Amino acid sequence: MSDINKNLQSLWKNQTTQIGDIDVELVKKNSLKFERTIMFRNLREAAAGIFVAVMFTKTGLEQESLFKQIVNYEIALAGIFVSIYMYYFSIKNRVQEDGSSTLEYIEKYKKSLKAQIKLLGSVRYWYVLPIAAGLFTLHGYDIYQAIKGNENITYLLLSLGFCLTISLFVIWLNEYKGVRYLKEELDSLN
Amino acid sequence: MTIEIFDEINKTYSGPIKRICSGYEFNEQKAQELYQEVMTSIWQSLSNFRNECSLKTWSYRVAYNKCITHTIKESKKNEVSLSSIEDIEHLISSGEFDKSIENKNLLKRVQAILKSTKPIDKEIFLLYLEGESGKDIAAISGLTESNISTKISRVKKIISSIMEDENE
Repeated sequence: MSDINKNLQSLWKNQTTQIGDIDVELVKKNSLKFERTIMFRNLREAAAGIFVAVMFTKTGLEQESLFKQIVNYEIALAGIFVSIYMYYFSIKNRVQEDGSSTLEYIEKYKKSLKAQIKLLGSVRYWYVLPIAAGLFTLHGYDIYQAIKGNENITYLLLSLGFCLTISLFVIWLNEYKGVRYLKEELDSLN
Repeated sequence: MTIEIFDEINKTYSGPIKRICSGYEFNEQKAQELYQEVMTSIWQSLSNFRNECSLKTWSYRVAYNKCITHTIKESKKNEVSLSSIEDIEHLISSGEFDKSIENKNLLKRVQAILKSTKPIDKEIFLLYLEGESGKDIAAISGLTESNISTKISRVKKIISSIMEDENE
């Protein structure tokens, strides 16, 4: 059996692979590209938060009603909170191939996946709720005022339905699709 | 200093690292991409190298870590189910292993087995094929030497079975 194994080891080590060599310049370029991808992803998330914050702060400033001003500022703060929370999470849970033994690496990877599952599984609380609560309150207030003034509420109802659909879609996408995807990854490591 | 260490890895261990990549990715184009990703990971992680283990052990660890991440993503994409060495040994001995590995050369048969093997068991299989000692495999994988020894005896049985099949 020992000869058989030695023959196979020799065959394996002498196989010709079509994989070409790599030099340090290409590695540096790839590394830079990878860092840029991470940076742009973080910038994109920050930009979304800033956009929400700026838009609702501006709208809040334009409101005559103090109640509507406060609700708009709450949505603006929620946008900033969501961006910061996601950024903090991605930094804290990033798993790098740092030279840990395979078992240690798998444990770190599993820990990160579990944290991501927890994060996505609770999207309704930390993502949807802070923003949707403000949006629904604004709609509720506008609908109440419109009914009081005998105005048409069709547009407001459509807008409320749109917000509700988006909120439910975000919850479904993360808590169902996203969590299922990550759980499959976790299962393949067990 | 970083460049010198990287050059040493590139010069001394590029052969085994390429074989690691081709053991995890069987499509040549994808294996080439995986190799580039592995070498990029090694470059990015060099600041973590603190001489706590040999340069070979450290670079193999980074390479396997990257390949494991790759396998998880790819197996999910291709909906491939992966088995442990124990399960594969059982499947081969009972003749239930994928019939498609018949009538191919030995390396193709080994590849067919590697394709269905769970990442950490695949690592042990590949390190054994590289002729690494149980002690070195334990240092790279983090498993105990006795665990490695049990798994290697199963790998040997698998190899004997597929070589017997070839001789029949």
